Amino acid sequence: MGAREHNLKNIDVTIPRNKTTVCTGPSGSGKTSLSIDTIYAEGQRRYVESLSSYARQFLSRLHPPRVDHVDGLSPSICIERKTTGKSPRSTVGTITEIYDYMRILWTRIGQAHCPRCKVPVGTQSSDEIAEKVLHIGGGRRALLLSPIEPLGSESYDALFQRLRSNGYGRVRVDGDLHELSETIAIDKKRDHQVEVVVDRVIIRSAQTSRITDSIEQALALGNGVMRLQLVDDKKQSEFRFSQHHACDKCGTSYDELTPHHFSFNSRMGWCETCEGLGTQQGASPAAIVVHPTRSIADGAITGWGELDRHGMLYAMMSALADHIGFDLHCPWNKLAEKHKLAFLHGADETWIALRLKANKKSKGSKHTGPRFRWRGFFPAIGRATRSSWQYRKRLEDLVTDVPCDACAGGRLHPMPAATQLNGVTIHEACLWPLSQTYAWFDKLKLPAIKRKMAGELLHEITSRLRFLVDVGLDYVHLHRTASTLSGGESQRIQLASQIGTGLTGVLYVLDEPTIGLHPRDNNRLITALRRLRDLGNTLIVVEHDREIIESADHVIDFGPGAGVFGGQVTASGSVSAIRKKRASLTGQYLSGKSAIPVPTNPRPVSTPPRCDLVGIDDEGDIFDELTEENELKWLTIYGAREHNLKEIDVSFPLGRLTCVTGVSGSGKSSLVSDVLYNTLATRLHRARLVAGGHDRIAGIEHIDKVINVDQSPIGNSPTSNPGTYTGLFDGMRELFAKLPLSKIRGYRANRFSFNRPGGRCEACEGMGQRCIEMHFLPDVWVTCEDCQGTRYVPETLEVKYRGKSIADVLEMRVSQAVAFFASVPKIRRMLQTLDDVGLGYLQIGQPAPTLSGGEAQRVKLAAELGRPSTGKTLYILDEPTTGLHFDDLKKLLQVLHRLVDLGNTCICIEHNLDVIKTADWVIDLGPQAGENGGTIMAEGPPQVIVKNKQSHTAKALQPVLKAGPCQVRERHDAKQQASLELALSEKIDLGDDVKMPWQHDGIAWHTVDHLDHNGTPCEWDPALLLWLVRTIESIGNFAPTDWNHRSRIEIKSPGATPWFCHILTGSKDLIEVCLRVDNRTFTPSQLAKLNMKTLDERRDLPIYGQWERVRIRTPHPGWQEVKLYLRDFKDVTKTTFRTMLKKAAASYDGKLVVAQTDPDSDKPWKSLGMAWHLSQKSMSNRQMAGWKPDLLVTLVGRFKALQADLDFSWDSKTAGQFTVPGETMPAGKIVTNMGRALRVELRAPSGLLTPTQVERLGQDVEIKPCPAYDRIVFWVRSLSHIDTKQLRQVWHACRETEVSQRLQSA
Amino acid sequence: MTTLIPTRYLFDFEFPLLYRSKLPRINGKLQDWSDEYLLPTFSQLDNQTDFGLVYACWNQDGLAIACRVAGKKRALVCDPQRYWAGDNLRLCSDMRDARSNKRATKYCQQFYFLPTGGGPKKNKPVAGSAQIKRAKDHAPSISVDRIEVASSVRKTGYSMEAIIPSACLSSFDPEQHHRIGLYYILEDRELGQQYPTVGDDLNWHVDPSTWPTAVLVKP
Repeated sequence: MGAREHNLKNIDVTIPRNKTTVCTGPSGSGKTSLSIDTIYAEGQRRYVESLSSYARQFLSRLHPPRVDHVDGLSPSICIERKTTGKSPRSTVGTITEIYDYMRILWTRIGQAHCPRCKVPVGTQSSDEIAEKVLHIGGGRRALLLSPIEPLGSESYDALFQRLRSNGYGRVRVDGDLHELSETIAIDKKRDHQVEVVVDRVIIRSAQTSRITDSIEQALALGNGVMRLQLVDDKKQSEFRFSQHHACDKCGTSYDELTPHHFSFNSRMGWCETCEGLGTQQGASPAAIVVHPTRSIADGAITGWGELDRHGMLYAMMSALADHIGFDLHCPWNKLAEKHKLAFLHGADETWIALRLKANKKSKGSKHTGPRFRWRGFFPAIGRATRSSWQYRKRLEDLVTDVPCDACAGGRLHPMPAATQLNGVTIHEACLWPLSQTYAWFDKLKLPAIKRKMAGELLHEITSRLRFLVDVGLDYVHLHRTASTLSGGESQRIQLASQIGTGLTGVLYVLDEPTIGLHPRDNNRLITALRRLRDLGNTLIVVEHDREIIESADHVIDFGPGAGVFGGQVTASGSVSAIRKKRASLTGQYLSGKSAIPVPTNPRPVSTPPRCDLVGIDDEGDIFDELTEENELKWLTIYGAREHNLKEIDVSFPLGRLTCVTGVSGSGKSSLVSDVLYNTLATRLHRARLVAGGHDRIAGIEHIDKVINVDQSPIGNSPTSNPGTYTGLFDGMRELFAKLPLSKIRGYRANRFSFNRPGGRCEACEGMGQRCIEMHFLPDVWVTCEDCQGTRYVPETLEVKYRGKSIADVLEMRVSQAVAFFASVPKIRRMLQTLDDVGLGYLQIGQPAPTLSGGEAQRVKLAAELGRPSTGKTLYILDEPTTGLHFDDLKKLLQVLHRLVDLGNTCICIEHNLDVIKTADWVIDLGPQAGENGGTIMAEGPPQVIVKNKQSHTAKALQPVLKAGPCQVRERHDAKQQASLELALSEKIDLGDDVKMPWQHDGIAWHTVDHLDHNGTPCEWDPALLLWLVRTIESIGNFAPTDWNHRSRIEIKSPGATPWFCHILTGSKDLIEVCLRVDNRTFTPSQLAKLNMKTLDERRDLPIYGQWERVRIRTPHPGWQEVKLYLRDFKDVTKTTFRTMLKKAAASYDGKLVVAQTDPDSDKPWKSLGMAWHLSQKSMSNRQMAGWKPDLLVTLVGRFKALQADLDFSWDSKTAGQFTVPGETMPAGKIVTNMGRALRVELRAPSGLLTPTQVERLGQDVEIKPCPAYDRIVFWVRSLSHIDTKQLRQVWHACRETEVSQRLQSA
Repeated sequence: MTTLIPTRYLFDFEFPLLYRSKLPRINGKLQDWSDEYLLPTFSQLDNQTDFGLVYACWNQDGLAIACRVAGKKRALVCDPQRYWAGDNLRLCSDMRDARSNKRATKYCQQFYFLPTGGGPKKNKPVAGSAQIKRAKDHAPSISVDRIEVASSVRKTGYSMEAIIPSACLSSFDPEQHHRIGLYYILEDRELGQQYPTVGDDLNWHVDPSTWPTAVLVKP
């Protein structure tokens, strides 16, 4: 009754108990506000209220939901999308508690094994030992020995004496028998292995009693350990027996295992190297094994190529292969896992002989030749990166999480890790797909006693596993970390743990459980939910999926709009009742009255190019016949093999909307994110990502930008809002900083930030509200009394753009702001995108925590989609429809199609059939998840895909396509849009025509208004400023002083001459006077006569510093600059100062005369030309020349070879420019004043070239867009950095395009 | 395609260091050395070519080392003050088989040998020892005068041999510790560097774990 939380409009709702109720409606309409923020929150609050006040003080305080009353509320459990933690210690096994049961199972009925010897480890009683000894039998003679050590500082002599006195007659020292009656010669400085001969027996049944007694005595003496040596045996066989938990073979003792030993989160159980994480930082396996289909001998390993059969490496690898036991010619992907592990992580400690031809000569030699041990790639790379900075830098791009060297990813200490249950270790069981794990546990055969012990545990494990398999998570394994799970996967996993608890009478609130679920698996989820309901629980599901809504017992539809326009129940009842309600937006879609239409005019796509159509041209470059012939371009991945991908070749049409589909776990994200995005981001944007395994990608040259929208949630900070998240607010702050009042007051963009001190209200720290702590009652938030909720101080709010302050802008809705900022393209573009994705109702400053899941998702999408597209941009979207209602989906699709109409490419990983049906091209991966997936099931337009009978997507898509409706999609008119934007941009008014106070009356501004860069009054003496200016004016023949700048006064001779004096007035404490004079006019000792004290010496000043307030520098050859920092007349002795100024003015005049008679006297580069640049004198003294003069000559030669008639000009001090005859603008330049390398800049027509087409021109190649053209910048330190062929292609492409453009314009 | 790390860094190496009852004569001509005493080279693993031959042997009296460099076109550059900057042979030894130690101990030493640059005319060979940087503990200082060194310089190269007496080797005890760490680097301003395991980029000069193991073999 009376729910008013967030945007809910005081609504009354009835929800049937023990039924499934689906809350649906547009994103932001109030579904979650009712189900989670009202019903679940009230349930939680009531539970907490039932606790004692003592207990409550330890719990976070809960705000009571804004609701009048909730009746019949059951204990409530909420399963949200984002609740699984990001801890790497949290895995599917631990979340579902399956691993906890497995730990007990392996402890109780597992067989411990020695990790080193791989033999079972167990304790045995003296009777069991006696039984084993008698079993050796056969009347053989044996010695029973007890190992013994000296006590404390006891010497060996004392030990032997003690044994003698105890009646023993013999000992064995280091394997040799000695009579105790004799003197035993022994090196006292060394440790020895001493064993007492307890008895000499003949092993036969008649001696049972004696043997048993002797064994007990031996065990007692040897602290539970004894040895038996057969003396008449030729091999002198020896057996070791122990009462401890120890390995019979190597004698290592182990603790008795407890469930804690199997916990990788416990110090007792975790692998000591990785502390239970199972991973360490190391090189990516894909970077080492670059061709998994080849063998090690045939070039599988990076940098090795094909091993020469007669080479040293081949010999060593052959010897290693023989030692480890694998075939060097077996393809990598067919090697056994243990062999791969040995190769990557290192073999054992055995030294292997190096068998070289050269060594064969010395075969007869008694000395062995060199030997080696294999360290393994991961340990060696790890060591190299730890010990060498060079390798750390070089390999940092390849570093990723790799399995731990010590536990190989098992996370456990070696002993529990080696424990087996029916021959399977706990780690092995955790790495199987859940379907296999379930089958194994289901069919686990155990002896009766063990089955009794395991009964309850097995039931718990199998019931949870069955649920996970039922809800479509059969491809996941138990060791998968929670942080790698998608929202839907984690929610279904949490559901599994809930099912396991078997609670009844509970209210479950679920938030979109279908995320990431293929339509094929929807029914399995529905069945699972029904089972939960049938246990006697009530389910409230927030959902947009048609099938889930249709399967519900009761539906509540919210609306009619979102945000302030929502918050009402538009329909409530059964699905059939909802369908009939006109007011219900969802009902309209369910009944088919509204629908997302199937476009009847999809963009045409022909067949993708295949490998056989791709060849190699004469110059060794790969070409693609279809691409060259047809207009449609393709992006083709060859040999994709990341995770479960089966070496597939996939082609994506460019300039089209492509959907990558397939059941969860079929390899979609591996293909699109790991392989495609990581490669493109690395190639195009120099991102430091490790690309997934593949052979190559063709067609990258047709793309110049890649934008990825993944599933990561946006921040939840109250200081984040749609404005700050999308970057809109930065533009707005910059705009406000450009306004006249801001300029007068010296406000910069950061003044308008509510997250930084300066312009914000400090009482509430820019929050607009203040938190009042109420101790054991919930905190109360009240509007800040100082700023009245505006977040800013009044001075900041006085700056207004079109009558609105920055606070007013934050209050504005997106749709209002689109019109308000129509004339500012940068801001309008992003606002328009927000409006287009259906967020027009949102306030720009609405705090992020108050956004619904769907709103947050669309804010994130808009932030990416609103970035400027180049027409060659590739957008990669991972399930963009999460949290979106049918109606929101329609708007999103319009945005995506608009981007594609502009020439860009969109690739969506998607399960939503409404998106798939509107796509131009669909690539379906499958057929199943995990190892059974990773192949292409079908590719083509949706209408072609549905004909495929094997594809699960096709089966689900067919009825949706049939249902229609079909409609022509309106194409986006880019030209019309561009002209509209141009028209709007022309109207921008920033008050540039308003005259600033320093333009009105400069003297008054600098001496009376007297404000610093931050708008605060200056403290230096304005009278000093006036005196300085008047004095300078009086001593020379200067043009009228220029006061018309905000913070600078300029004095110079008449005409276009260099200035003589600049007085900078923008600092609060000191004015800065710069005087330009002829070189060597002043020396420091001459200026010392001015007798200016340091700030510390001026004790009357509130500022401090020991630096010299008079400085000399040489900014340009031939000129000297004197800088003075002055506060008031105490700094100035007028006569000395006037003398210094006179000398300076005279020097300046003299310098001007010289400059007029010989303008190039100070510019040796003008006369020397290229020789100046070859001398490398343009570099500052602080730089070391990293390039040789020859390089410049050769580089010029390269350009001349491209075009012989190029005109080089060496007039500039720092660069040589070259121009094509007949053109005025230089075609490029070579910058010579950088120590690092020569920097080459080439002019290219805008948008002609993509990063891939220029990537081999030199080092650090960049394309920098300029207003009329693009500038290609690259660095050359050695000629080997230049790909001459690519340089030639780029040069000719640029020139030809420019010629054709000129002809067209003519 | 380039390798991620030097191939030699993927292995640990061990080689026999042969015993000689009488250490060779030291006259710079390498008359007493046969191929049997050549130290193994693994440069081929990293596609490098050797430009010199390095010999070594031992007995209770100490270690003997020799090298022969050929194929030079320019004159030798040797400055005992900056021995590392010119043509030189450097030898690192660790008298304990502790190949996992990343920092030198008191058992680790570094010796250098220059074919010329010594004496009043700067034409005599030079032997010396240098501290190993970042060491946990330094070996006791030694009298380098006791190191016997001789060289013979030709237009196209040089040969050099030296004996480091056991007194100059920190804790040299072949009876008890017959496995030692032994690393050499032959540096040439013209021809480059030659070494058995890793070069400067992997810090051989501070990290004894990069040195190979020599097994002191006795008949």
